[in-house]
Amino acid sequence: MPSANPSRVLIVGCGASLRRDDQAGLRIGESLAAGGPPDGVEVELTESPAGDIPALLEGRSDIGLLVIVDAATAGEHHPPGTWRRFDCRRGPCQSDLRDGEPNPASSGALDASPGRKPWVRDASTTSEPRRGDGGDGPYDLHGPGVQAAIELCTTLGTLPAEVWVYAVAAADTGYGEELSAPVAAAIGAMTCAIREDVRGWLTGGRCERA
Amino acid sequence: MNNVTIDVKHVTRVEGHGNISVSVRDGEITHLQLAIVESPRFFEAFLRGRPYYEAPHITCRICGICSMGHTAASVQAMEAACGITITEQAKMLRKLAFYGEQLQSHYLHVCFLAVPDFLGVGSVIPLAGTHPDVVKMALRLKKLGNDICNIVVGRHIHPVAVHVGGVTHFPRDEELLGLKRRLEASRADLTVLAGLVATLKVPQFTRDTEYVALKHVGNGEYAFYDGDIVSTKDPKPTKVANYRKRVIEKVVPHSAAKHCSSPNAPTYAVGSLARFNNNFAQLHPAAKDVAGKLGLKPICCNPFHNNTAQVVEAVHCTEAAVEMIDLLLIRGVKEEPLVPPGKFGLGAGSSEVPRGVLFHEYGVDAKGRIESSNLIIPTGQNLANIEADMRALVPQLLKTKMSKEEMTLQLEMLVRAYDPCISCATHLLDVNWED
Repeated sequence: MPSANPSRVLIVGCGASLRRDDQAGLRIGESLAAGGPPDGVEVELTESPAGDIPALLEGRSDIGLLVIVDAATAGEHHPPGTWRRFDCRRGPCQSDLRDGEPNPASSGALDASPGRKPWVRDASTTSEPRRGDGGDGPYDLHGPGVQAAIELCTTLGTLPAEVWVYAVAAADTGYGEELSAPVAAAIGAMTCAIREDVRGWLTGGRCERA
Repeated sequence: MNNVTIDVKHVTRVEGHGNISVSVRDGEITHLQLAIVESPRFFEAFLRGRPYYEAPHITCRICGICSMGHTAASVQAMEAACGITITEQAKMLRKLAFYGEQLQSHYLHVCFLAVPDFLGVGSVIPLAGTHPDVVKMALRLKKLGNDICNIVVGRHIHPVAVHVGGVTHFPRDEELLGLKRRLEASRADLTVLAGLVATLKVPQFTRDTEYVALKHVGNGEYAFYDGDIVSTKDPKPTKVANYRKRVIEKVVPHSAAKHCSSPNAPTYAVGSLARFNNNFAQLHPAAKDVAGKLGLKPICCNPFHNNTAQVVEAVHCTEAAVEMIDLLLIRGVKEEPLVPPGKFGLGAGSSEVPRGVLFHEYGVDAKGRIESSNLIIPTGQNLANIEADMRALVPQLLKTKMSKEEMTLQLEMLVRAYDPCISCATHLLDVNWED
């Protein structure tokens, strides 16, 4: 049953701590949690979002806004460090992550020009399961990511009324602990923006990021 | 059906990559393999030269599901190599975390990986549509297991607070009480889960099998964290230090993981059903009660009932965790230093991780650096037994006149019933691949 007042915010920083730029979501989550998040805001970190996000939302009808922060691979028109916010409840966010077309309804650092090459693709998932793909496809239990989490929560009816995904274009998701320079440079701005957006949501409802 | 070719690449809802290939000609099996095509991991190689205290933190990365289990086997092996006896409190905290890991792993397997087969859906996503309450329950239960590990050993995977010589994190009373309340509340979900499992139509298949597990001799504890090696065909306990007398490894061409045999049988099985078969008397009464309701009795030789045994063990772990928390609260958790090494040498350790008995062995030189290691993973021990099961199951399926698709599903369900962790198992060296 929906909470009468789903007024809390859950921020989930996603990524892999030893895969260079893929740790961006974790770093941002750590920054947001540092010193204690504001009242009404919870911050969690996960390296396995497909399982953890649905688990975090189970029984939490008091969550009105879910914020997911993650790195993503990008097309050639959007250099590493470029970031934007997708508003999953206002457009086909799942398709955006899967197929690469930015969500026209979302606003953020980038414009969404129809017909342009896809710039965001969730590196950990593919659109349809395939057998015998010879790689880490959807049959790899490590494969499912944010998209699968959103899909599962949607099916379960546990997805909050509002879901924002902040994605930053990664340059390098190979092994290592260091962020690339452009992604490292983006983290501060993303952290500030998320903090500001969430504060706006808490105080007045929607936040239209421009 | 006299001629059948089954070629599954890859088996789904298992950890890692494995292929089933079966050929039947004129009613006879001409080819049957569970081919493990995962890349080797080389953990035993890159442990060499590392300081002794790094072993648990490196080897726990073998698995993201049973990382506490690898940690437990690793610290016990290294503590044996270093002449360390840890405190009772450290062992209790490790055991509590171990229960958490068993719970999260069993719930993951039963609810997310195995149950979809029985309910006729392809994965957890459609299961969420057809049985949302089951998925929500599974999410709650699995999160509880994760949170136990997180609170007790610092992370829900790859624990950071378990070290050679003890532990370095000490949960507060209120944290333990919170876990206890949630564990007690989870009994209701477990009852529902057991009720669901009772309704599943488990394939009727048995094959005479040796079941190998750890066992506590004397204190009546259901062995998870440690114990001696026993089996259903040889119940005389063997100390873990002598594990090579019970486990015989060999390389096979079609698998990046070794196969194992025992002195008693060309193949054997480990895992929940093996533990259940060897340690039924040590189960918590509540777990025995659920086993009775599910119709599970030792010695059960139907591998599909490994799923059932996991539910029984989940009940046991829930009750054992509650009792462990009570003990810790009565004693009062106090900060303790790590016990330093008294020597360096050779040591073996073993734990019953969710998928079965796991062995770690290290040789440490005089400077405290690892010079040798041997890791024997549960799934590696099960692979030959799975193939043996498949060889027995295929003729039985052929007699039923079921379709090729139904046969394929049955074989996939058989593999999944073992809850294989293929990535864990692939670690062998010195394989000569032939074209």
